[in-house]
Amino acid sequence: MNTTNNALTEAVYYILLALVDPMHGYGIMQQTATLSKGRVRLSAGTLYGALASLLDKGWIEQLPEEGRKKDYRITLAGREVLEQELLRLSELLENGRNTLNNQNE
Amino acid sequence: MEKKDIKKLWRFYTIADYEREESFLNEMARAGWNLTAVGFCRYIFRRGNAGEFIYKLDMVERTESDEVKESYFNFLTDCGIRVVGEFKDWIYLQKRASDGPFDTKNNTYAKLRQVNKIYSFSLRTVCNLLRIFVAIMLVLVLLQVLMSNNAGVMDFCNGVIYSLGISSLIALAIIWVPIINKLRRKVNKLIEDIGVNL
Repeated sequence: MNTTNNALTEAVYYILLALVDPMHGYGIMQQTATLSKGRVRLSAGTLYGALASLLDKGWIEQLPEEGRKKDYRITLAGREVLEQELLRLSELLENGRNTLNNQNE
Repeated sequence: MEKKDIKKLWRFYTIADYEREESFLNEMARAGWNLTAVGFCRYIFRRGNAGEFIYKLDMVERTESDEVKESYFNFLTDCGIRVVGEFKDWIYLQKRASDGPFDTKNNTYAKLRQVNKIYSFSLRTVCNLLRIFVAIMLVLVLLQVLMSNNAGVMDFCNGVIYSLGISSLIALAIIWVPIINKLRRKVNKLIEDIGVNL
């Protein structure tokens, strides 16, 4: 549950999206850059802090360690947050499109 | 390594001038001088390929546990970032320019995160200095009360309280007030940019 009811930052949004598949930190950075066509680049500091607070909120979990790199994965709670965010974004998008299209007609 | 391939420079940047310090290091790297070590106001560069590396400052407080530091440093290594220098609470990060920038250009959130870290650190530092100051003054006043029949001790305590005490308080203000103000302005500017006040 997104208890704060706030919009997700782009960083958090892309991190959660990337973690639908289990992934380590560097993978998340690359995935984010790829998905956003290089527009969003997570700094290591941002990502490190974000992963810690997402773990804390229970939106992602850490998988048992294999080697030194830590893998993360989204939790059910995290998925829920992501779906809520998608609803919110579709509302924004729909209202924006409708308003601007009506005006153009 | 020949001597001409090493360059040692002195520069002074306050904690609030970390962006200018970053620019200085990146300019040196563009000219082919790569940072290899950092000390108090001292930077050591080694000649390399121009534009091969980029640099960034990050803060990891000395009070953090070794485990926290190690885990962060490992994470940085995994991200292709090398810690080339450590000085007090600063760490100096190096990355290959070909791997892309440290983060999105003009990312307000990332900038706010960085400056907020530095701002809270500075405030805590000033509070700690004030605490030490108050503790020393209290000891001296206590000493005066207890030894009020000893003129020598009285004079000594008076001397220390009035000269050293006041001058160190003034020094504290002169050094830290501009730094805190500068950082606060940066924080406020970024908060405004994010649109929290809209």
